[in-house]
Parts: sequence; structure tokens; C-alpha cells
Amino acid sequence: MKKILNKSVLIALVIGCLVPMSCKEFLAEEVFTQYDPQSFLQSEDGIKKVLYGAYSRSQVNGGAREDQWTLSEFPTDMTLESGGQFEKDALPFINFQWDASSGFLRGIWVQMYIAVRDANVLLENIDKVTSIPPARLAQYKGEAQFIRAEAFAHLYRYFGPVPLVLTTSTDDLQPARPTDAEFVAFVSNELAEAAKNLPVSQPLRGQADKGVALAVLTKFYLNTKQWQKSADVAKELIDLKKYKLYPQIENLFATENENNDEFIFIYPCLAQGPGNQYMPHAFPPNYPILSNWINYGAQFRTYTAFYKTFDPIDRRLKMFVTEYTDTKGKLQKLLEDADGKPLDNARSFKYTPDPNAISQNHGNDIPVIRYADILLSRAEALNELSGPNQESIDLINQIRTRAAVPAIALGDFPSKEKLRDHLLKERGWEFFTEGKRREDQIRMGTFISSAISRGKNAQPFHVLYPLPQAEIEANPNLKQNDGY
Amino acid sequence: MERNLRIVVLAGLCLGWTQPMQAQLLARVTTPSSNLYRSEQAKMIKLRDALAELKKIHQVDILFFGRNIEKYDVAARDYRASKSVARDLDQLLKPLNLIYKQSGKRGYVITEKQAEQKASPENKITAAAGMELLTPIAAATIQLRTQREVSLAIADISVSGKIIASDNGETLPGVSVLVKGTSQGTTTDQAGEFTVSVPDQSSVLVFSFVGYVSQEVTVGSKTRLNLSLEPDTKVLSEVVVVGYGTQKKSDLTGSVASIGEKDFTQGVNNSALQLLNGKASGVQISQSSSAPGGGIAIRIRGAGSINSSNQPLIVIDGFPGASATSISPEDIESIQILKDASAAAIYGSRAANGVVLITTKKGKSGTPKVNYSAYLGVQTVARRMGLLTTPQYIDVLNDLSMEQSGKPRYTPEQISAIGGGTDWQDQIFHTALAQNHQLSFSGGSDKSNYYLGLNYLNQDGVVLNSGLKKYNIRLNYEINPSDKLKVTLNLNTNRSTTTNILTTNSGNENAGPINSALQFDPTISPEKDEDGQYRYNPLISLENPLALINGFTQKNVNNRTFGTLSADYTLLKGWTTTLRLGADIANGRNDSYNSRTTQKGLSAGGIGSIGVGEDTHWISELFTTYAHTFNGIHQLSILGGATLEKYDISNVGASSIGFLSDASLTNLLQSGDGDRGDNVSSGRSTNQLNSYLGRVNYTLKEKYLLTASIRADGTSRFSDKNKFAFFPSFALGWRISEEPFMQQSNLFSDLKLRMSYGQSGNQAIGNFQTLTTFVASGNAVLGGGLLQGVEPARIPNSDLRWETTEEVDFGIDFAIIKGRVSGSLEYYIKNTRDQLFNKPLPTTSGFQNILVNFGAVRNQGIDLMIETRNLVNAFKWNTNFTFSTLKNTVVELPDFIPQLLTGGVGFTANYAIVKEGAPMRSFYGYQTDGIYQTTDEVKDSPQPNFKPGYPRFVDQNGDGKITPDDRVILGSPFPKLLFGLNNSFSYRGVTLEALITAVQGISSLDNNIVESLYPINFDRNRVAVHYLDRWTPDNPGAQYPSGVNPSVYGGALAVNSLTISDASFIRLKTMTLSYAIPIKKGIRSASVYVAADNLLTITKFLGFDPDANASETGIERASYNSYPLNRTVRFGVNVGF
Repeated sequence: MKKILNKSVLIALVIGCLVPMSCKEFLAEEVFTQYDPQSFLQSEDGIKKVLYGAYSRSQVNGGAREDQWTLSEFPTDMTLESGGQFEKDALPFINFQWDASSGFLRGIWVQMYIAVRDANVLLENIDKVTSIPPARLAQYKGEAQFIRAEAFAHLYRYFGPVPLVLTTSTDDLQPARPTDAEFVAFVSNELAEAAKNLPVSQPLRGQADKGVALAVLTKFYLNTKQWQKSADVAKELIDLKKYKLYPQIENLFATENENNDEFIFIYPCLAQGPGNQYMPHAFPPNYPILSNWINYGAQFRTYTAFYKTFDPIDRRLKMFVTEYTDTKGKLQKLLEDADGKPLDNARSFKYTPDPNAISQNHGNDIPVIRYADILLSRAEALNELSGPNQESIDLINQIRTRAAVPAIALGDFPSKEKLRDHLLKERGWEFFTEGKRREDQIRMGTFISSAISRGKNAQPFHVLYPLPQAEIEANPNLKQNDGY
Repeated sequence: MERNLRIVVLAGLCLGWTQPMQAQLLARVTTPSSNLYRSEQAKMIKLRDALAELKKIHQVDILFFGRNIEKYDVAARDYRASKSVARDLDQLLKPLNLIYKQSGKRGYVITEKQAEQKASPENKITAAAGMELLTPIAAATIQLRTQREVSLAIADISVSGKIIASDNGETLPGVSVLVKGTSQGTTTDQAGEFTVSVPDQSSVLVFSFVGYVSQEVTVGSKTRLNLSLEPDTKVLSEVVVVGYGTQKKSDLTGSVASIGEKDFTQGVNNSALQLLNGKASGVQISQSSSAPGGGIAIRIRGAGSINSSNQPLIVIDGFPGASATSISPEDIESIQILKDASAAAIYGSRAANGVVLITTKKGKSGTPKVNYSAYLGVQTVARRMGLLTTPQYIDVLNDLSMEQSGKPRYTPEQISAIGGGTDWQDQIFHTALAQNHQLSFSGGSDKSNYYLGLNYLNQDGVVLNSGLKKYNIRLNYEINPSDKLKVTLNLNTNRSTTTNILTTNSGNENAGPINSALQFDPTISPEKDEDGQYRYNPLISLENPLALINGFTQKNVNNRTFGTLSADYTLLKGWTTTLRLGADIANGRNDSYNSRTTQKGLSAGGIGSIGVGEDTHWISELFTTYAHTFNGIHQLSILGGATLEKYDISNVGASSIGFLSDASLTNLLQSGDGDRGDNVSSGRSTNQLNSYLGRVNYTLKEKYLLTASIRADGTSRFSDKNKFAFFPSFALGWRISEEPFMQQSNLFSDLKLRMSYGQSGNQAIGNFQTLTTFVASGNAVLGGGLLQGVEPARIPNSDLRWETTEEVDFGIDFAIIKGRVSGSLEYYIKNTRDQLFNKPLPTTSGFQNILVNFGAVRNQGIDLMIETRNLVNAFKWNTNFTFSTLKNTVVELPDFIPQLLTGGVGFTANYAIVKEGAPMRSFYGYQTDGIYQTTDEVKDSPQPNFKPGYPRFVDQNGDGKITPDDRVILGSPFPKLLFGLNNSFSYRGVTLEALITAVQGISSLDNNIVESLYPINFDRNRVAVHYLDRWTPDNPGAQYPSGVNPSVYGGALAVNSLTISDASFIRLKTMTLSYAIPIKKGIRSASVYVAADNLLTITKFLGFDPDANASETGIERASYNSYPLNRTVRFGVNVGF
């Protein structure tokens, strides 16, 4: 018996040696690749990293195809798409057949709310970090406020008012939509607050500064038809004297010129990614390209009718390709066929192909708001306030002069409506391929009628996109937009 | 005895309290439970019975003359079985003046001293009356001194012959040959030869041998009788491996399918799982990819987990979590599948999907054996996709183009310039060779034994530039330094090199060569152009298939070593403690290089990446077993133990682009464009398991069986409050055939009823789900560079716990007509609750979902296995039949997810639904109902914008529109029925075997059909059948729609009853014709065979293989660019020395 006991002890010793630690310790979960928020958010460096996280979500650079072109231009009179696998995703937006199941709508919704979340993390934790000097504290807060408000404004363009989530608390995960007035008031105030907190210049291109916040506010006021406020903020921005028009519009979008004074708010792009993927969709078939470029099967095309609205001497036309000699030496015409039938196949080469592009990624920054837009916004706001006026005409002529087209005169526009019609055209000529056409048409009331005239089954409710179906299902407090 | 028990318990408790995690005590039956102990009560037992017991205990055969020993009794008390049969025999026989001689490896002949002395010099013994052969149980050879001169006086006819084994063609020495109804007889000699004299032609000879089925032959006019005896599988597989021990098959109460080497499904097998194809009921083996080294999906009784893994736990020689591919299938002796929760529950939190126990070969004492086996296989693509040929393509595209735009796609000049065009499948497929060599050495003595296996497999793929090379070495070594200690080493080391073609589930530029070959423009020449680039059609965003084959290389090298070292120590008789240490170390490296040969590689200047990882897993187990029989009728065995395990995974990745030259491939990553192209990554994660386990087996009078087990599993992955969970099980069995009332009837030689209940778990979740952490995520572009962001990782859920599967199983095991028909029938219901669910969150929170436990899935079905020996004489015919039904139902879903739409392959998404009352991940889409014929019909339809020739979608809810609400369930990813039918015919060393497997009632999304019906762009090639019978005004009865502007009836509508296909099939899986070559000198056995795999598949499915699945081991089924199935003809040889 004693022998057995000895053996038992021996066994106990053997096991004891094998694992000299307690059970609880052994089953503790070790983390090697993630950070503990308790310590991570206690330093300025940690706060900065969270801010970069927020910026990364706020920048719609890699997703611009869906956001800038598919959602914002395909349902308009400018652009269409065919070919490639993308055609089936693009068609609903070209043909006014989108529905709440669209992945693109959900994609942008999720991305913007992640930006909001990251901004909220920063705003909730930054005051606990006592080592940050007040000036930088205000700046960080301003950047986070801007990112959050801009994300809301971005969603508003597509969906109308969306839930204003201002905390990281998970107590209420099912927020309801605010009224339009509440939403607009919050976003306006927040952008104004951010503009106050932000410096006029920031060290890194792409970082939010005062001008960026004012630009977004100008456009937000304009799109919500708060004409006076829009005109005022535009004035404030102009008076910063920081921005001016770049002389050669046709070279403005080339990578080597992107450090200009005209771009205010940009989605910065890099050739190594996240890149601007517009050009692979714009090169026509067998277009001679550099070996480091790629030409996709999906083709972004321009309606011939839109092309034909340009003044032939307009320098902005230089950014179109209407014919080319393909790699097989054959001349290809893109505007019209031999019978004069429109081919709707001209290509906007606005984003001058980047010689250093890597495959589909070109380095051209995507301007969200540039100075020309501020000028035309103020022109439009003043017209809406008091009808045609000399300042509006002068503002428009700044743009036209650069484009080398004849100036317009106040006398040419007997009514507010006439000048509004011109502004829509002018904005089209100026901002094609920049994802502005949908909001412009909606604001000026031609979005639906223009679609109907192209033969689409457009309904008044189409001015708003449906909230993503998954959101409606996950949140019973969320009310779907009418018509969907 | 009782005191010993108390000490076990005490020791266990002490260990448990002082070192809670390390208490690993328990009892186990190490010596088979013995009836000897039963007779302890009686003072004396018959010698005959004592010998019968010894025979069982030592697994030997003992021959004696009944009259010689009938008179002897021995004192039971004096006798205890020891480790040595010789010692036991000495002890028993010496006092009785009996002697024994060893005969062969495991045979013993008992004679009286005088008889022996007399017989020995003349080398013969009189075999007058009373010679008895105890029915043997062990698979060992036995030989007896030749007894040719038996009863010459009454002999009229002399018959001679040779006996061989039917399974391997080896000669059988020592086979008993008796004249039926007499005690005359003989045994075969070393060469398997016998000569016996029989009274007349009507005499019947009875041939019997250990481990083989006895045969009776009427002599007739023959004087020469050559026979092959068939192994008795019932006997061979009598002891089966169960978790943490072995059990007699007759004592099993749970559902365990046991497949021995002889029954393995042969083929060019890389994974051990392939050996089980069609051989076990309730087990579905799918070759999800037929690429060399491709994935094998195994489902045991359906699938219970909606979101976690549904792959079973693989245990190799007691080491859990091993991989079925890092082993040579030919080193495997047997595979047990623990199907129900009661059998599997001992593996606790990893057992919910069943457990596969793999046991490798061991050496046996005796002459060393050398075996060599090899085959050469010739593989071809079993089935190609029926695409439009070039002339058909031109015609179809011209017609479609005319109908769409009024202009033909090709002018007559273009058509004549195209010529014959290109069949791109021809360009990428070829006939490929596979070869396999296995060399093994085994042997041993009573103190040690060894098995050394060497394997080399080289399989070229039927798609160019793909293949697998695998090297495997296994050493199993067992030593017994003393009677009490046994040390076992099982060590396996393995290296595999896989060359893969690009296989992705994406389309366009990212598609692989198979997708490209199916859709590439057949009017383009396969030759390169003047610039040395492969040609392509700029409107088709696909790489040239040959550019992908020749310009893209992907190589995967894996080195994996795993093994266990265990020590069994017998503390007291019946009480053994085992310490087992195991480790599995896998190092892998992936290289991929996309050269300038492809468009993508050209634009990036070459894309190269290397990924390296190391996975380690160690385990330490201590368990103890105790077995005892009380009062001769209560057999009890107890097992207890504890285990610790740790997994540690780390990886490094590096990539670059813009290389100086393609020549260096991935061997010079620093020659890439450092500023713009370099990318590095790394990661590491660990997780730990700590478990305690216990099991009790109790048998009353060998008739009433009870098994109960429990396992407590703790994991690092859950929060403190849910770290541990308990997985209990119990099972009852009743061996009705042992009841006296049954023994009067001869119908059932075995009949057992059993019933079991058990719980098991599934912890297949990621790390950190219960923790609040921040992760490096999101790259902001600021100041012209990338700045790394940090973001919160999740909303943690500290309440997470295991998914739990509860299963009830009712079974009946039977054998009738003297074992000629045997089998089992089982019914089970399996409920998996507390599903780990990604609950979709309103993303206004910034998070898309949170992991929660909710919902239940039920699997129920019938498993039937039948084994019959239809003909047992010279011509033999055996049949094995497996049949199972399965019904998978989502029973309960969280209210927050009334349904869950998932699935994504190519550009088709959301085709699978999880919905209460339907099978998990059922196919969900639009029902079509014919084709619109007239504009009037279209005008009044729910789709007024359609055109004649478009498919008619069914407006299920009758609201006059086709909306997502009109989607219905179109099929299930689970088979309703599975069956396997194996027939084996043999005659004189020639054996023909054929295995048919079938999967019925299963569907699959065929995304190649989606891309055929809805081409991504106009110029892509298509599946012929859809366009040769497409609707046109002249062909109104067509089966398929017009194909004119198909995107109008595609998009989200593409998931419909035209693209969800019935993937049922019946397959002649393998057919083998083998011949056992008559033995030559110096060779123990030799056989040759020719086999054909995947000879025939009957299916309605249009793709390469209805069994293939793009989601690999996932539940969702989709066929998309699957690597084509191989039809293989193998020529093989087996030689034993």
C-alpha cells in the first residue's frame, strides 16, 4: 500500500512539474496583436492614432467608384456605364431601379458611421489626456467634430436625416431618425464649431482645416437651401484669401499639380493605394496605355448630348477623349457613328492618367470641394436670394474666363430661373466626373424630370435613396424613406 | 481491492485540490476483462476453461487433445494471468504433467509428456480421437507439426491442396483440415500445403483458421483442392478504439463506425478522410476541390453549427486536433468515427461535429516484415464543361447581336480570318501522372515492437502547372522495459509541396485560369502576339488562360511533425496510469508570383509575396484506468484524467511589386519597388484548453451495459464566468442475443439494443470576443503618405459560451445466419443550441455585429450499415452497404434575425438563407416558370418591362410585382440520402471490387451557369446548352431564355431555379481488379492490380463535379470554377517480404 502511495505522490510531482502554474493563469487569454484601450487612449499619441482611424473612414478614396460616380453621376444626364462585371451593379442606378438591398448604399452608410464612431471615441476620451496643450486639444477636437459632421452631411445627401450618434455608449443601439430641422441644425452648428476650432493651415495635406470645414458648411447650407447662410459662409471662405483658381483647368487634376490652391476638401489618393481608380474605367478598348496601367472591361462613358452642350472652344472640353487610334492602329470615334447617331461613348479623362500609377491605382487626389464650387455656390445662393445680380455674374465669369469661354452678362438673364438654368449648365461643364451632378439636379429640381426625359421610370421619391435594408431590419426604430 | 480504490480516489482528490488542473486520474481496462476472476469464488475450475481464458487474455491459440485434459481441474485461486503466456502455461500445466510447445508465433500445442516423447522422434503424433481446436480469436498464425499420416487404415482417397488468404494472397500454414463428422484431419504446412485422406467422394472437408471464415468443401472427384480463406472481419475488429481507450465491439453502447485497412476506399489519396468515402453511414465525404492536395469536407450526421466550423475533431493515436492530410494513408490501420454525442462527449468542447480516431500500424512480434506497395496513376479530366465551340460561338453571338442591336458581331471577313479558333479547355488541361510508393518495416519481440513507414506521393494535376509532392515518415515504437511499464513513441514527419493554379471565387481580372478558360473568347489564338504577350479581348476583363497558367506561380510548402510519447504504468493489476505528451509543429510557406506575362503582373511590374507561418500545439495528458470484475458478474472499468493544451499560431508576410526582373520570382523581394510596393505583416495568437474527464463502463452478466462519461472543458477564449463547461453522456446497451431465451433460436448470432444521450460542444470562435480591445485598422492618406490608424475592435460579449449539441441515439446491432449478414441500424436526433451568432447590429453603432449565443439547429436521420457474405466458397461475393438519411432544420432563430441571407461567389451574393423550418443555408431565390412567349403575355405580367423570350418569374405573393418578397427556397445544401455500395468478388486470387457512392437530394448554386445565362460581358463564351436551345420566335418551345440583353432578367434575379441546380449524383467511385500472384521463394506475398477511380458519374449537374464546393468546407454550396474531377486509372503492386 505504501508503495502505491509513493507512486501517487510521484505522479503528482510529475504533473506538478509539467505545468507549474495555476489553472486560472493557464486559461488567461493572451493578447499579442491588439491594444488595451485603458492604457492606449491615455496618451496624445494614442489619440492621434484614433484620429487617423477616423480619417481613414472619412476618406472615400478607394470607394469613389461607388460613391462619386455610381451613386452620384450614373442617375444623371452626364455619365453611364457598360461592360465588365460592374455593369450589373451600375444598371440599377442608371435605370432608376435601385432598392434598399444595394450593397453600395450599405457600404457608404457603414463607412460613414464607422468614421462617426472613431470620432466619438476621440471626443469622449481626449479630455482625460491632460498632457495635450490647449491649442492642439482644440485642433484635435475640431478635426473629430469635422469628420463626424461631414459624415452626417455625406449621408444626408443620399438618405435625408439619419440618426445622430454622438456617443460610444452601447446602451441605445437603436437610435431613431431626427427631424430634418434637428438634423440640419446639429450638422450646421457642429461644422461651424469645427471651423472655429480648426487652424487655417494644417501640416499634412488632407488634414481638416478651417477652410475645409467652411467649404463643407457652404455646401451643406446650399443643399439645404439656406441661401443666406451659404452665401455668408462662402464669403467667409473667400475672405480667407487662401484659395484661388488654378489657371489651367485641363491640368488641374494631374498628380503633379495636385498641390494647388484650388482644392479645398480632398480625398487624397496614392498610387500604391488607396488609389483613384477612375481611369481604368475610362480608357476605351485597346487604348494605348503605359505598361504599368490597366484597362478594365467596365467602361465609364459620357452621353453625347451632354458633351454637345459645351461651347466648342471651352478648355474644359480638352479633358474629353472623343476619338483615338487604338493599339491596332485603327481610328476609333466615340461621339457619333457614321450616320450621326450618338454613341454616348466619349470618355472623360479628367483625372489625367498618373504616369506612376500602379495597375488600377492612380495617385490623383479626388477633390470633393474646390474653390470653383465655392464661387459658384455663392453665385447660386445670391441668385436664389435676390435673383440675377452682378456679383453672381462676376463669380460665374471667373470660372468662364478660366475656361476661355465668353463672359456672360447680367442682361442675358431676365429671371432667377434663367440664371439658375445657366448655373446648372455651368456646374455641369465645370464639375463633370466630380460626383456633383445628382445633388445639383436635385437642388435645382431637375433630377426627376431629366431622368424621365431619358426614358427612365423615375418617381419623385427617387430624390432620396432608401436606407439600407439591413439597417431597417436591425433597428426597428428606423423609418424607411417614403416610396421604398 | 476496495482499499486500492480508495487510494485512487484519495490520490485523485489530493491532486485535484492542490493542482486543480493537473488531476488526471482514472481507471481503464488494460487487460481485457476476464472471466477468470468470476471463478474466484469457485475453488476449482476446469483446465479446459482456464486455457480458454488464457487464450482470450493473451490473444493466442491453444490446441490440445480434449481427452488429455478433460480430467483436469485447477485451483482458480492459484492462478492469475500474467504478462507472459509461457509463465502462465508453466504454472498451469507443470503440476499436471502436461507439456506444451510453441507453434508459430502465437500458437501453443499441449500434449501429455509421454505422448510428446513418443511422437517427437518420428515427427508425428497420433491424431486419433479428441483433437480439439479452440475457436481462435487472434489474428495470428498457428502451425502444428505435420500430421500427414492420419488414420491411414480407413483412408480411401488422398486429397491434397494449398490454402491461401484471400485478402493478400499469402499462403496460410497451420490451417486445420478436418473430415466433417470425424476427428480425422491435418493442418497445412509452411507452404500452405496439406494432404488428407477421406473415406469417399461424399466426404466433406472443413477448413478453419484463426481469424478466417471457416469453409466446407465436398471432395467429389477432386484430389487437389486449392482454397482461399477469407478474413473474418467481425473477429478482427472486435476491439475498437474509443476516446482514451479501447473497447470490445460487443460492449459498445455509443455509435461508433469502425473501418479497418481492408475496407479503406482506395484512390490517389492525400487525406486520411478519403479512405472513408462511402464506407460509413451518416458520414459524407466530399472532395470540395479535386486539385492535388485539395480540400476534403467531412460531415458526420449533418451540420449543427450555423456560423462555426462543422468539421469533426481528428485524433491520431490519441493526439487531438491533428490533420488528416499530414499522414500517409497507408500507415493507417483503422479509423473509428465517433458519430453520436455519447461516444464523442469524452472530447467535450471539440466533439460536436463528431470525432475521427485514426490508429496507425504497429509492429507485431515475430519475423520482421517488409512491405512495398506502389501505383502509377494516369489521370484525365473526368468531365469537361460543354461550351460553345468557336463556330457555335460566332453564330450565337451574331444572332444575339442582330437581335440586340441589328448588327452582327462578326463580319464574314472576320469569320474567315478567325479560322478554327481555340478550345481553351484543351489549352489548360492535360493527362497527368500520379505515383505513390510506400515502404514499411515492422517487427518486434515480446519486449518491444516497431513499425517504420516511408511514403512518397507525387501527383500532377490535370490542369497544367498544378501538382503535389508529399513525403512522409512514420515511426511507431513500443518498448516494455518491465512487465509494468510500457513506453510508446508515435512520431510522424511530413513534407508537402503543392503547386497551385490561381483559384479564387472572384471573377474578372482576379479570376483564375479555369474561369478564364470557360469564358475566354474562343476566336483568339493561343499564340503570343508580336510583343511576346498573350492575346486578349479588351472587352473581356479576363486574363488569357495561358497567361495565368504560365505567368502565375503559387507554391505552398508545409513541414509538419507531430507525435506522442506516452508511458503506461501498471500500478496494480487492472490499474494503469498513462502519461501522454504530444506536440504538433507545422511550418508553412506560401510563395506567389504574378509575372509580367499577365496583364495584372505587367501593370504592376510583377507582384510577389511570401507568407510564412508556424503553428504549434502541445498537449499533456495524464489519465488512469481501473478495471475489475466483482463477483464474476459485475465488470467495472473507470477512467479519469486531465489534460492541458496550448495552441500558438504566428505568421509573417512580405510582398512587393515592380521588380527589376521576373526572373528572380519571389526569391529577391528586395528587388521590388521599395517605396511604393513593399508590404509587411505579422501576427500571433494563442489559446489554451484545460480539461478533466471521466468515464465509467459497467457490464452486468455481459448482457446489460452502461457507459457514463463527463468532460469539463475550460478555454481561454471565454470570460471568467463561462470558462468551464460540462459535457456529460450516458448510454445503455442490452445484448439480447446473450439472453437464454435468444440462445435457443439460431437466427441471431448477435443482437444488441442500445440507447444513448450526450452533450458536446463547439468552441470554434475567434480569440478576444469577450475582451474590449483596439486594433490597428484603417490607413489614412495624409501628407502624401499612409498613417496607420487604430480603432475599437468590437463590442465585447462577456456572456459568450459554447455551442452545445445534445444528441439522442437509438441503435440496434445484429448478426444473423451465422454472421453472414450483420449490420446496425440507428436513429438519431441531434440538437445544437446556443449557436454562436453574429447578431447584426445597427451599424449606427459603428460596429456591424456582435457575437452572441442564440438559436438552434436540429439534425435527424437514420444510419444503416449492412455487411453480407453472399457467397463464401471458392467463389466469394461480399457486399457492404451503407445508407443514411438526413434532415437538417433550423429550429430556432433569434428574433433579431428572422432570416439571414449569406453567400458570395463570383458576383453572385446572398443566395443562401438561414430561416426557421428550413435546412441551414438553403438556396433562396426566384422561381421561374417557363418563358414569356408574346408581348401580350408580358404586358399583363408582373414584369411589363420584359420581352418575349425572358423567363417568367413567379409572383409568389401575388402583388403584381416581382420583388425580393417573391423569393422562395429552391433547394438544400444537405443531402437527403447518402449511400455507398461496395461489392467484392473473388475467385482463386482474382478479386474484383466496385464501390458505388451516391448523394441524393442536394442542390448547389452553379455560378458558371449564372455567368453563362448572364454573361458579364457580351463577348464571353458560354455553356452551349443554354444557347443552342435558347428562345427565339422560331424556337418557342426552348428550354432556356433568349439571352438578349439578359441583364434585364439577371442581377438580383440571377439566383433562380435556372441557376440553382440539382447536385445529386451516383458515382462509380472506384473499381479494382487485383490478382494475388502465387508465391515465389523469398517473397511472402505479391499482388498486382488495376483500378479505375471516378469512372462514371450519373448526374443532372452541368459543371465539372456536383460534389465540388467553392466554399471548401463551408455549409454553403456553390460550384464555381471548381478544379475538374480526375478520372484515374491506377496500376499497382504490393509485395511483402
